[in-house]
Amino acid sequence: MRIVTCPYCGAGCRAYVKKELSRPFMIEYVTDINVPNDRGKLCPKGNAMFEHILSKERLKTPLKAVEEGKFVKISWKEAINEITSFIRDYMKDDPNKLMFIAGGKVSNESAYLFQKLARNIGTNNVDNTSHLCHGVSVKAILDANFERNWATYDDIEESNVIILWGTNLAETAPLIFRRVLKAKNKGTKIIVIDPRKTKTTKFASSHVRPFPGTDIVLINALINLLMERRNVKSVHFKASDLEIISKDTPEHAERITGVPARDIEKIAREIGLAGRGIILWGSGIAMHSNGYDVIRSIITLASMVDFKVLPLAGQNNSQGVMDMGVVPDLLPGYRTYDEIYFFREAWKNEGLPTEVGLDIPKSIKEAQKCNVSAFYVMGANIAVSFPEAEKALKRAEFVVAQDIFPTQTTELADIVLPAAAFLESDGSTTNAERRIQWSSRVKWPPEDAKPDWAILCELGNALGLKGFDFYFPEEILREISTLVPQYVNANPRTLTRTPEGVMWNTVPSSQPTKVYVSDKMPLLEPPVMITVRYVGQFQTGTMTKRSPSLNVRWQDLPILVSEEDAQKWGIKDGDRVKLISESGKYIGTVKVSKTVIPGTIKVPWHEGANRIMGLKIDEETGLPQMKACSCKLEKVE
Amino acid sequence: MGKRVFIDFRNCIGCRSCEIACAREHHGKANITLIETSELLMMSFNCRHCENAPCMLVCPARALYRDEDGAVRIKYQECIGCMFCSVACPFGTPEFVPELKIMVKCDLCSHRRDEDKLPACVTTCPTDALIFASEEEILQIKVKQNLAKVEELAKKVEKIMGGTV
Repeated sequence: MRIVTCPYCGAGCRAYVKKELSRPFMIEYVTDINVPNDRGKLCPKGNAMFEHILSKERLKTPLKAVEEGKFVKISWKEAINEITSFIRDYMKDDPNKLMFIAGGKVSNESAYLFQKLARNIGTNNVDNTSHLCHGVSVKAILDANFERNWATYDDIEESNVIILWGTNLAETAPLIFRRVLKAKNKGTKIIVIDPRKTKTTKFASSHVRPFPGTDIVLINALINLLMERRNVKSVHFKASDLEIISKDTPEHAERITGVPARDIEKIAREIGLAGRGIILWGSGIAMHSNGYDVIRSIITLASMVDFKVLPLAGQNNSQGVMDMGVVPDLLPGYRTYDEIYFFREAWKNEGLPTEVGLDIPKSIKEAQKCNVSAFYVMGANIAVSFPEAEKALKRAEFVVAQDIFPTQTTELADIVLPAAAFLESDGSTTNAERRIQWSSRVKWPPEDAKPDWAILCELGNALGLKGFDFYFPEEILREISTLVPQYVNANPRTLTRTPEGVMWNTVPSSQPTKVYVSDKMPLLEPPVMITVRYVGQFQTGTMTKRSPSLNVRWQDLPILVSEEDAQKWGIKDGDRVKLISESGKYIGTVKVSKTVIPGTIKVPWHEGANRIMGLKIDEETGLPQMKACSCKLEKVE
Repeated sequence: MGKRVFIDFRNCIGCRSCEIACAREHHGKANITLIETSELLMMSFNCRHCENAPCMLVCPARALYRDEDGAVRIKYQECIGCMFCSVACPFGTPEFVPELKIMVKCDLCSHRRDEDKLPACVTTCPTDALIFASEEEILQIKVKQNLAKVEELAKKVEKIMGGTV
């Protein structure tokens, strides 16, 4: 029996796999050891984690595009030759015209090699798709010096107050929600802050519904109220900070957020009296254009009452790809470019670049201006998940897409490389509580498909780069454990023999938490479209839509519209509607719902609702607005 | 009396984990169904393994029987696919499988029980909404819950009135 990690969300659930003749892969629940999923329980995606790898649609051989959408089979040698000859041209004169994008689903080893390849080629244009959700949270925690209060799942059960901010935990991570419910049974108060009534709010002791994008005012109002309490730690605010805070009184917050001042006062009282508490947040606040500011403010709030914090990761290795430095401005282990000498020595390359590269939104913008001419996309379906990405990929001269299934992104590629699925290769991942876990291979990849790290090794060697002679992922993990301080305990010998996984190695700094307050707020004109997720579908559905048992149960997911709005626009249940924004349209079926506040429309983003957002990068924060956008709703006849 | 799968509706988050786990254990056919009765309120339909099972009474082929643990099961070789059982069942749980021309229903995961494991749906339920217990155990749980409520009330009264009442 082998132990594997679920390849879906960031909870990092574990399961045993048994091979039987009649059923190829039998899942057995892990009840004997301490794993992130309490008592080995699994959510529907976890229960169906093997269905997609058995699908017949898998990419099995390298493909080359003869014209758009038409592919011919080529050999690995030809594919590698084509890619290296193209990269070589750019390596000499302008490597910054290349862009490397990794998904949050690749293992730590593949992610590490990916950025090593990009940086050795001579560019820092390397980014991951989790950068805009989980990455923002990780950076905020590290910038604020708040690592010491970064929680694990066990801390959830020991809290007196749990705040779930901008996350529908029951739908996105049922196994983390189990911990919340266990705490609730012990008498813990659960406060949910979410504009929508969800399955999570059913279990909340208090639920407030701020209008999308106005969370920052609510936080400032809470800080304002907490400052008056005596049992709160004294935090040193600057005069300019105090000005912002004093402006946001509960009454002012009520006008902007729509949350009654009485409720804000009640929450502040509960936070003040809690003693031990935890704040969990999800992409509901992190993916707004002011995501970084909101999270820094939440950390300030948490530091005042000494609460723990836990950002929720969307993908199975969101945390790992950040740790491995698949970001344009940080090297592996969150080292800055001031410490480049360390890697110059380790990778035996004196020419490593030191200027900050492009992130995904900027590269998409630059590609449309022809400043980026090639994309290497590994395990991400950016054509659906990012607005304007389709245009950028069409504009680019050369696109390499490495994936397990044909997706909308591989359609636009020049060379398609077949990768091994997560469960077809050994590898480690890091989950939301920063537990590094080794997942075993349970099956060989189909036909010519190869694991991500093996493809990257081949490419690195073909390009004549040093340090790509790996034959096993364990060797790569050894290199990681020597170079990344957080992964010191995760050397392959220990990790492969500890099914419970190894925790991040942190030395919390004794520096005080850096206080940060802000009043940056995205302006959203109602009706506002918000993207939401359902438990049975995952991201763009590359995997879940190929799992028959998930796909039949979660098909044609509805657009939720409030009763008042439905009356105003004259629509009813089951109508086909078109959402129109400046950048495109999205068609879906409507469901009139009591759970939505008037002026908002909830859209599942598995079908590509993100594409109509428009890639508006906020000039001050540098982040795009990826959670909500103003749009019009029209009926389709 | 044997143990059954009971549902605590208050804990159900409607994630359908049970359905997927059941489908996996039973070759793609789920014997437990969750239905969203109104928004955010779920109801689950699974075989109750009734003590006086109407399906067993009406079966003309005598294909339904009760096994040693009290689960009502179907002898697939003897089933004629007449669908009487699903008509007689007040919950409509036995379902017809056209490919095999037989009826299929919950067998409380007989293959897992052989290995001393709980049914798949109960093992996987993320919120412990599904409980595998006998009727007496369920009653005890209910009594305990009610006692806890009374105690809580007593504490509250104590707080307000001050001192023991």
